[in-house]
Amino acid sequence: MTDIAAPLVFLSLTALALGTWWMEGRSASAHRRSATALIALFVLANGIVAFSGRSLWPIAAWNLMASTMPSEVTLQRLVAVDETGQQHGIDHRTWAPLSEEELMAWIRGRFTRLSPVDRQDALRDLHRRAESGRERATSGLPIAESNAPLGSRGASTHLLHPRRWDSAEVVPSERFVGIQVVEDRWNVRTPGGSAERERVVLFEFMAR
Amino acid sequence: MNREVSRLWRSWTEYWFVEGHAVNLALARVLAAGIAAWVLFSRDFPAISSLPDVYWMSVPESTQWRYLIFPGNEPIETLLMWAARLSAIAALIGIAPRLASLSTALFLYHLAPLESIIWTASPNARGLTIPLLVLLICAASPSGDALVVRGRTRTREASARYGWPLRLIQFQVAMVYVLPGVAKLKESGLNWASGDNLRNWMLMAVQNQDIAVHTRLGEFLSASPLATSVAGGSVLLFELCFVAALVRWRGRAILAACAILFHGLIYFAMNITLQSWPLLLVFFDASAILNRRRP
Repeated sequence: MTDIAAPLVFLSLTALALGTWWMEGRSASAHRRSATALIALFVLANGIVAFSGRSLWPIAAWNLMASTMPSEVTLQRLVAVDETGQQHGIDHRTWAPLSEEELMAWIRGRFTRLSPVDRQDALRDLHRRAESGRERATSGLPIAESNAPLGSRGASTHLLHPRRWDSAEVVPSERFVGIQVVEDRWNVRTPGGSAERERVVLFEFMAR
Repeated sequence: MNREVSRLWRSWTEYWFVEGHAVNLALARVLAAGIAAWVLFSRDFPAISSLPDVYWMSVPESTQWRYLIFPGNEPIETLLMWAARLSAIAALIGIAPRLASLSTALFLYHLAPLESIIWTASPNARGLTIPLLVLLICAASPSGDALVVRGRTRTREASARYGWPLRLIQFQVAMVYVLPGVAKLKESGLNWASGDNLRNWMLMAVQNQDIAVHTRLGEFLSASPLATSVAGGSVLLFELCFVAALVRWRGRAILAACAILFHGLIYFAMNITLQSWPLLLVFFDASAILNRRRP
């Protein structure tokens, strides 16, 4: 439904914008009417979105951080596994062209509904990216395989992400042989709480 | 009844068709195009088109048709991406500014959703939503009458031609603050404003190893129940009161300044940024500042 309503709203906004431009300098009253219609549609669309809580993008609901946050939190993460079985955090630039928050949102949602075979395919691809990023970081090459002209010097994403592998010394030296989706659970109020995490492996891929 | 309707109509007209200055409207165009260019030069959207099938298989067909985004079209997307970048620069410096604003808005409508399409059709808060809408309004209005690379400001006279689009842009920017306030009230009620809630959000933001870039301010603030209580109430009140920015000049400049401070705080305390924050400058009267500097 949204995939029909939202483009109709955008098409109407665009048509009214063009109409308002077209009327300029032709008829003052027609121009005023067209501008009024454009304004009214902007106001109406924002009102509908505010009332329904559903975005009609590009008219957005902006329901950011609207829920309350409990002190007991669970968080899904991707970690790489090296030949000794040790888990490692992965530099977010390895996921380019995806950003880490988009990838993790996909992992929390649509990924879990994939068939086991498709999930293995996805994890195989993520493992390849993680290992390739590790190798590039070790060699001093740019971690991101990206054609963006500004690269990682450009605009950050909505959430900031640490650059874990900015110097070659901190890049894991052992080859990554697998990748895991893990769920960490901890109490944010416990002093030093983040150090005491319970970790469960939800999905994993191990290269043979 | 008729009198009431005509009174409402008069209020509506008086509110929207207020006089404004060409420079203020042109500044909105420059800011929106600048943000769009900055984000477009920082991203590699076309490569998302070439992601393996497994990422695309759960993207609804209706969403693909909605944005005319289909997997496996990286060369075409690359062409469109470069066209969008050049178009944004043209709108920024004022080469065929209205046409460039329109084309940039249309390119953004197609390209921006690529960033999040694997899991959502609504790429909010990624830097291109508000610039798209602002550029559409700039195309509909004489936004090229000032701040263009070739030519001078056409007029220094205030006119409703510049007033209504600027007011509409301010309305759309204000929604970035008002709607999150409404969403918080709808989903969590006044509980959202509690110090405990904001403290948990802050602690989560500084303890989540995948986003914890800045931790000192978040740790410092979350250590004080008083600070988080004040901050929780202030954030909700600030967001809901931002609607006042649509009413008076002085009030709106103060609210916009508070919003810029707010973005600074959430950047360092919670590792969250909003690329479109410079658009808050549309609440300041640039023409008054420029006129004051003129002899």
